[in-house]
Amino acid sequence: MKRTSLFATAALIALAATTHAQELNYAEYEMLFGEPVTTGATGTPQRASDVPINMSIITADDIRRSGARDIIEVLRRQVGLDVQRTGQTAAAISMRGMNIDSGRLRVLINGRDTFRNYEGLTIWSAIPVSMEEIRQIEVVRGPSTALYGANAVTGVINIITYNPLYEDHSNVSARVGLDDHYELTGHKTFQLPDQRGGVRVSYGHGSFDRFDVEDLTVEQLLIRPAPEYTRYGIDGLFQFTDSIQAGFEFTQFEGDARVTTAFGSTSDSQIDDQSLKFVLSANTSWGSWRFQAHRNEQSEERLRFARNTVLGESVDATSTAFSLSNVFKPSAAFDVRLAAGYQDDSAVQFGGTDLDGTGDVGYTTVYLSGLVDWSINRQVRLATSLRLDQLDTFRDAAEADFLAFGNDDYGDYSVLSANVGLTWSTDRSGQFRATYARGFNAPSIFRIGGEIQEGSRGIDGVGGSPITTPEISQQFELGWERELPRLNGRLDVALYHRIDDDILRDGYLGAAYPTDTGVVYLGSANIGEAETTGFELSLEAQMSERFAWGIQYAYANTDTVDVSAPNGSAGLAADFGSYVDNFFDGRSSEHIATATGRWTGEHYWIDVLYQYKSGFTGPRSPSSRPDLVTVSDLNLVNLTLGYELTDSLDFILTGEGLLEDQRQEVVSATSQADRRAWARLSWDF
Amino acid sequence: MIKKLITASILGACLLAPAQAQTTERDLEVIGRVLGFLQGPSGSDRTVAIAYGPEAQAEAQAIVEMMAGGLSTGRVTMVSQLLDGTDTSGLAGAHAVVLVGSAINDATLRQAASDQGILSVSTQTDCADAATCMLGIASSPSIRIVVNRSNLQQAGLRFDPAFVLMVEEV
Repeated sequence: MKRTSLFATAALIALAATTHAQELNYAEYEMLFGEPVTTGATGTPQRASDVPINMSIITADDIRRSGARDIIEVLRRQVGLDVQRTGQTAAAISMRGMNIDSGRLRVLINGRDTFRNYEGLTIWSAIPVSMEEIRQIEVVRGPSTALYGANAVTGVINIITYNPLYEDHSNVSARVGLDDHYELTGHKTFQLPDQRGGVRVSYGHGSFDRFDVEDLTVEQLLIRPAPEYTRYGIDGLFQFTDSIQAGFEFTQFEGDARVTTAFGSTSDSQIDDQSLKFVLSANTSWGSWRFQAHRNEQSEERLRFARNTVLGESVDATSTAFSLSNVFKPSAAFDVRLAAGYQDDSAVQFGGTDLDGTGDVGYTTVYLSGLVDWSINRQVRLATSLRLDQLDTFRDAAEADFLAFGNDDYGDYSVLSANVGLTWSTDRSGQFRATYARGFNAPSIFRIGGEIQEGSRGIDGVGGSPITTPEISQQFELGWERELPRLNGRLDVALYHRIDDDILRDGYLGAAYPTDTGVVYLGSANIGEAETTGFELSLEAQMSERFAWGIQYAYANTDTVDVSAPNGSAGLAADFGSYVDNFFDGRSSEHIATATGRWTGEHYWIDVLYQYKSGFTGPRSPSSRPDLVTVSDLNLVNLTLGYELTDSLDFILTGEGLLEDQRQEVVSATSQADRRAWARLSWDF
Repeated sequence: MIKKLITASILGACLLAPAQAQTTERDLEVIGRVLGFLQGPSGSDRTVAIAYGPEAQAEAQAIVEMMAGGLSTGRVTMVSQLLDGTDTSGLAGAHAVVLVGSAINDATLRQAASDQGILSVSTQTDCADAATCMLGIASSPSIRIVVNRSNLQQAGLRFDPAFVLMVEEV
């Protein structure tokens, strides 16, 4: 049924499509300019050294030599990202502090969203791509909703895979490691002559033993399976005429995941996702047009341990999006991008009450956006992006007496996003940057009422509420980038201040809404404001053909300001204030220092990472009374030894978290990470 | 007085003129890759004419030698076609003309290239600002490509739109 509707959608999209820019030939432009290129900063093609925002690009070679088996460990190498591993394939990752639930960072594959709008987070294990398929990963620091839309609040991770039209890249890799780790991934590219088209098929399967965690009950062990996944995908791009291209992507993922829910509990889930994207692009005398449509069908069988029982609950959500953009250059000094789009997100009523499955909850989004990138002169540029989103929320599921709202309470709201970047460069070897960004985090479907649970202890119901407004984040940043010829290296420095307003929380931190009938409903609420100030430094050097090193330091301090207990909550806990302080500030390391080194021989390489993360103390979850957990200072070492058996065959040994048998990175008593090691054989063909 | 002014102007021009570096193989690679983004020509072979001022004959010859047997870079293979100095009769069939040394100042050559839809290129990036070429490139210390928008339009030449967005236009 699900597949049928996907194909029906594809057919509909194909019929509805009229004509966007040609897909960027990353390989050719990278070779021309001698540096990566991207469309991830402003939506227009740019050299990495020209982007008017704080962005870094991780190349395929960086990924290969790091030995990382997942995106989680690749991101650990990026300054400003706080990576907290919670499982073999799971992590909580935040940009610049406040590591609440990976919910403020948007992750895309070739512009295709992987965000789960029902829960408002990213499930890292369910990202349907193998490391060997990735051409580059773009890391954008700071609010970017003016380009990417809702939830790109603290940043964006944009994963770009090899394009089968331009790059004939195929690979098979096998990994075998400790903890019963077996993994096989592969992709094969087929190309038509004369670059008329290309198709890539990919497959991946892996299984692992779960990490050892002390003090788990039998019931908790029952709901925590050894992680296993299978995924496959197919994507193609075709050149119909010199100026028209069309392409598609389809991925299927089935596997296990650990999810930190918005309500604060940790859920072990079985994921079943499909994603389909269609793109049509045309270069015309009226600029480069690009039409994109994608549909995500996300299912989650959530195994939850509650009240001494294992519960299995199904989440079914869909997201369908259409966008049309036009990029043109009216004069030598201006680049312009205009875009419009529509998105429909919905989920079947969820939560374990009689209301489950009686209807859908969600929202539709219509937006208009524009970018003007003005080269004031050779040295100074001003890039301004604006986007206006109009969101219309709805619920058509059954109503109930214990709810504090009815279906008629669902309304609409509009939000303005902005990115303004002023850059000054005296030559191509460096840049000063001053930026302002305003972004928003739309309340997830569950937070507007898509999840409703039965209450206890005098509370009749717990769940989302339509009476919530989006979180608004504003960031001010000064940056300086400079090539260092003496070191054959590069220095990046950034200083920022971010204000997160109307922060949304649930459960214990939500609001108690008394209803007319006297029942009490504990619902999602906007509870106040926090400010994060930070500093980041990154220094990289290639001292010789053989030796490269890098050091990074990130400081991020979050202060809670103007938080008031929502109506009702103050009565539930006298210590609300201190709890909230700990909740925002006690979830991330204030100091993260990372050192990397790589020695490359004729046929081998050694890559080492050392990371120090300062400890913190925070509440385990917002759904129960204060239960503070302390995460100690962490010292982590990852080591990779690679050997090139032939030009196309690598044998790689990687060890992760080598200093300790087991470590705790996150404020969860049931999430610890083991030392692990594996061998990989990788064949490019 | 007029003599003094002319002498001063020539001396001033010499002093202000940027030091002209020799064209390197890396420069030619960049030119080849740039030609790959020029819309219109099909196939992979591109004929590149080499025009030179009297003082730059040795450099022009060195360029021809670097391209001997065809220089493959990116999607194209460049084959050189050495002109007799700036004699425009040798331009026929060329996709691009590399202006070496003072050939950049030859208005007749520029006009002929424009009339025939031939891309005029120089390793002196300021030629695009001065409108004495269509494209100026530098490959060291980092890649710099400057396009003169109106010269390109007059010659009826168009690049891939993404290329235009990633280079400097004047």
